[in-house]
Amino acid sequence: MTDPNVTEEEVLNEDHVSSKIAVEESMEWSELIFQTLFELEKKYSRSIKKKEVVNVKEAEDDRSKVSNAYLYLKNQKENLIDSALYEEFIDMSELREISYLEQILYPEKRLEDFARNIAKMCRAVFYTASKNKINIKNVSEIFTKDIIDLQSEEQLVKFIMKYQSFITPLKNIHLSKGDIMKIESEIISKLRNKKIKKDDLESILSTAEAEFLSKMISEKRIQVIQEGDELVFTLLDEEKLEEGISSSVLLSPKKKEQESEKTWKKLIRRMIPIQNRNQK
Amino acid sequence: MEETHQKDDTNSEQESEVILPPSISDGEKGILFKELTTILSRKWEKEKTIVFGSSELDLLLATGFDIRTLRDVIEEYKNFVQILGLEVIEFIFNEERWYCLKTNYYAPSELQQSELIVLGIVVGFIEEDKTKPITTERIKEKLVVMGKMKEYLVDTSLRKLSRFGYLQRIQNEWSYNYRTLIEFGEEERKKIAEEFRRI
Repeated sequence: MTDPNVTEEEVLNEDHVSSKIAVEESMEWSELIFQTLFELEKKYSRSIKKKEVVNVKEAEDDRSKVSNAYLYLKNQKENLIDSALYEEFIDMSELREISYLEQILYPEKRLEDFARNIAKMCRAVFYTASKNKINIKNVSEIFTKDIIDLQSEEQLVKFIMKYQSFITPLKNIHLSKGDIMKIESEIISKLRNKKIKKDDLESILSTAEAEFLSKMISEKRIQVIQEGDELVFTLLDEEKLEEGISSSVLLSPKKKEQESEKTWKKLIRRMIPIQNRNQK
Repeated sequence: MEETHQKDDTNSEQESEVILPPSISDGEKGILFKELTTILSRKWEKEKTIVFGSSELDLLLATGFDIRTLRDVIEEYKNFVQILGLEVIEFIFNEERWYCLKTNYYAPSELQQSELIVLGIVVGFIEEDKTKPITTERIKEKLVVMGKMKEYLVDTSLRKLSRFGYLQRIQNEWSYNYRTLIEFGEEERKKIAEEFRRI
């Protein structure tokens, strides 16, 4: 439906003019687009650096402004700015998510993470853990002096109860084989083929020795026979075991203990097995 | 009489002369290195602050070396402890040069959680703006006012950090002490400042 008055030449000229206007317009438009791209790129890179969150609506508006920009970009430089801006849109989105999450998390939790991260970065000084001073006050507290009457059984019992944790029980005293042999030979030399009254025996033997004597009798290495008030000790290597009624004698050893042994051992009484010849 | 005087003079000269070891034998070096390990891993308390290792002056007095020999020995010792994952560190404490040992890799810190937080806040403030003074009020503003930490905990942590040699307070302003600079390098301090911005 062309106008019949308009010649072909005029039509051609009109087309040329309109296309010229269109090119000029597109050139202005592309410049405008590039300007917008450039400004937005600056805006977002600044915000990311300062960790300032651009809200979702504003970011979406900015994105839609430049969504078709790629159609008008001419050279590599403009393309690079366009891709940089898109990367910043992604970074901004991540930053927004992190900031939302941070707001949801409790501040204590954030501080805990902060402390953990600092601890991870620490390359500590190397040192031997020790105190430079000995606390003398504590030492004096441990080593106090208790003055007690050794004859008083009540005071001794109280003393033992108080320091129960520091006292080594007899069963925990470690004796070497040599020590045992020495004690046994001493007992043998003291008692071999002797007639000893019970009271005298108590004064000869210490608690530990009484313990060993009891052990040696039960192992049938020593035989004890009662003759009236006296006890006769014989070694079983030399004589045969005499038969008789077995009984026991209660001993309260009174011999002074060695320094290492405690006075409280006096309280311990030992039973030693004997055989009574009279009741044979 | 003159002769005796002369003799006396020569004796006193010999006594005052410091005999420097021209070279230390391997055996002596072994003993010296063992002793150095012991002394450099010690912990002391000087003027209410904990310090580690030994001062250069004490080492000079103990060894009888001149300063150049001592520094040469320490240079060699540095290679020796490197095998163990340790590093010899020099630091200045009370205007004196000190030596101590440091782990080459991550090692658990002596500090508790609250102390780490307060130290991180101070590091963050200092790295952010070195010109702005860091007062106790500023630290509390960041931690207490926001309700993140109790005030007494901040005070206790600051006291402990000061005693452990991490921070020092000069005229109501907090600054790094030798130990923060030893245990947290420049890069680490920057990372702490980044973390600080997030809280």
